[in-house]
Amino acid sequence: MRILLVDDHPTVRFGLRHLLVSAGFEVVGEAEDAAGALRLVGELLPDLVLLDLRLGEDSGIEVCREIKALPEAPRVLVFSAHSSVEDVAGATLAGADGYLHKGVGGEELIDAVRRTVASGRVWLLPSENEEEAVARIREASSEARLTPKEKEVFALVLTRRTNAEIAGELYISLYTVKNHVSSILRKLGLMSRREIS
Amino acid sequence: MTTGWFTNAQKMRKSLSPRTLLIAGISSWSALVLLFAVLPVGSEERFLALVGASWAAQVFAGVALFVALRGEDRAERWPWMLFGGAVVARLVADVVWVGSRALGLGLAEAFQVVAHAVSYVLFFGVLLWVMSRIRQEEVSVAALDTLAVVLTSGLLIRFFAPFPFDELPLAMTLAVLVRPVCDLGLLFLGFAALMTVRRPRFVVISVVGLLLLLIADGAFLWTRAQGLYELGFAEAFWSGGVMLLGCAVLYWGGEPVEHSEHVGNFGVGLFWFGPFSPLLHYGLLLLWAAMYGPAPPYLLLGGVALVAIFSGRNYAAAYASGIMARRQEALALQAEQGRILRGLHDTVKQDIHGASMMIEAAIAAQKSGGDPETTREVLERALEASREAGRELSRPLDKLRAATGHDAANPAPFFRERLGKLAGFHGMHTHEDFAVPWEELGREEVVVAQQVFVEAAWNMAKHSGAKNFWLSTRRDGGWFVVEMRDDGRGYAPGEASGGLGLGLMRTRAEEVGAVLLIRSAPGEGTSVEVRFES
Repeated sequence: MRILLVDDHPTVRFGLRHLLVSAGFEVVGEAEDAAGALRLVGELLPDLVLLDLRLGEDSGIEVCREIKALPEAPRVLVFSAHSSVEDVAGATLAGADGYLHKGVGGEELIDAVRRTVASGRVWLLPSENEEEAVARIREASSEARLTPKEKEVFALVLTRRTNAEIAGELYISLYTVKNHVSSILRKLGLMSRREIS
Repeated sequence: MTTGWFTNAQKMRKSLSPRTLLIAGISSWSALVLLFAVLPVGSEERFLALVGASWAAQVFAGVALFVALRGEDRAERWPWMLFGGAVVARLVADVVWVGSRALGLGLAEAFQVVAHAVSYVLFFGVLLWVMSRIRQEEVSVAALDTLAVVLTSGLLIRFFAPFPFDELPLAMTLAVLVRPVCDLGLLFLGFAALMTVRRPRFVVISVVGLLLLLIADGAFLWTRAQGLYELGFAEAFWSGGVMLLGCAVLYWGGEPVEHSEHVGNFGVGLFWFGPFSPLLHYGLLLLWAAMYGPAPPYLLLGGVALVAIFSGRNYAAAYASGIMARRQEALALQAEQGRILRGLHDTVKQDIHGASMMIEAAIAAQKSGGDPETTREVLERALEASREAGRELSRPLDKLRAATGHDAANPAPFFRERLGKLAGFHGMHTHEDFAVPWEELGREEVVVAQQVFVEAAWNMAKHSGAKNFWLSTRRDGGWFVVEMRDDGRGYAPGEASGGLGLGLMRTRAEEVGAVLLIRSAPGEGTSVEVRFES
């Protein structure tokens, strides 16, 4: 099982690598930012990406969306020290297959990786759950002042369509879709959030 | 398909966009007013054109309000319902007046006064609500300013307008005056909102509408005073003004109004010395009365009211200023706490998570009989991560300690202890030279010096690669200078500041009237100076 680690903190990457290798996984690469992550996903074709949501100035949520929009998208397991509802909602919206708080034990992490690769959805969080996250997304979208086009894009995003599918369905360019999605995430408060959890 | 609702909503909004409605309304109204202007005086067609313009204005104002109310969230609806009520009251008053004149009925005047009074109360309420969203606490100041403008412009009109006020009873005088002075007051409020950094388009269109109302009022007063009044242009401008006020509501949605906006210096100057200035108005009246005869009693009573209004205004301004200062302080504290928490989260917590995983990996490797050398390396990294977490924890703790002012009374030991930490954690040689005693600084200044020191010293230690760090105090003319200097790699002007956290330090220094100077060049280290005025 080939795993790519994406985390801006070298200590975390080092710890993760050794923990996963000791459990028999193959860590094929490490990236510390969005550009590196997307490049390595294309080059190394991992089975699973273990993804942090805070990558310096980059947003892990956007990276997740980009990865899940690929034709042969790997599984994405978010591994974050944050677990605010906004973050969980953002990850849900971005199509993540799982969400783990960094506070989980090593055995739970290894089990979660195995289950996620086996096409399961793993959401190990201190208090929130996915239903609450989805409810939060809907609540946030009704509060946010989305433009009509953003509402159209948002409705399609919620149905888990990729950026390319949205572009095709709405007859707009992929670039425009990405802009709309970024704007939606920003307006919903799901991007570049820095809450402490 | 889940997008149906969105598509329909989009179509509805597109077909009735604010611009479409505004252009359609202005075009129809202008065409009918033009027709009214060119048709022969006294002709039936001319009267019909005027009625048409009035109806066009009503229809567009009504449709605009309906569309705006449909688009708003429930919580946002009530101000626009009041606004709609004001527009409708105004329309009804004017329509009844026009109809009554045409049919020769005598009830119109009293009805019009009441309806206008209602519409002004509602208009003022809505505009003050808008102001409260834009200027928050200062809304009471804006309200009292408006009251002063209404008072003195009323006195001016009463004193100078060529209108037979002396022959009218007080109630009738007030009825005549209420419209122009209230329009002026509303216009003043609109201009006050326009003087803020963001100019909501809603306010821009409202101000144009209010200007039309004012022109109509002026024309009405002047033509009636001269005995030249004829049903027509004043009514056309009234209906045009009401139409624009109605359409303005469409432009409210999405305006960024959640931030407190201050009126700039130009706007403040304009209030005290511009055409709306209550003091200039009243000064002119006093000057005139001093030169040409005794001041009438209403002028003196007006002066008493003006003094009372300004007393209230000063109190309101001081109160608002106090609230804003406290809020600013709380926001600054909150921002600082946020930065400290983020620092803890992004460094210490990550190190601890990393160390935990490494220890678990080492335990797993030991259990499965893995390579002992690798296990030892992992444990050493875990140990280093724990130590790093301890070091990183010192930084936010130092920041918190400096921010609370806990060591402000005895600053030298605070600085010595931190210099010792820098030496221990980062292997730097630290040097102190307190040539001028810290006691010469006030408490707040010491707190700022400590905060800037913590921010600068930790960043220099982490990013500069310096071997030496100097902290000194000296006197330079009238300045007490605190300097932090390193012999690290420095950075070129225009580059990022090397992670020095410049913005925060500068803000803190400026808060106590100090100046922050930073000098750096590639290969020549960095110097951060805080200069306090003695």
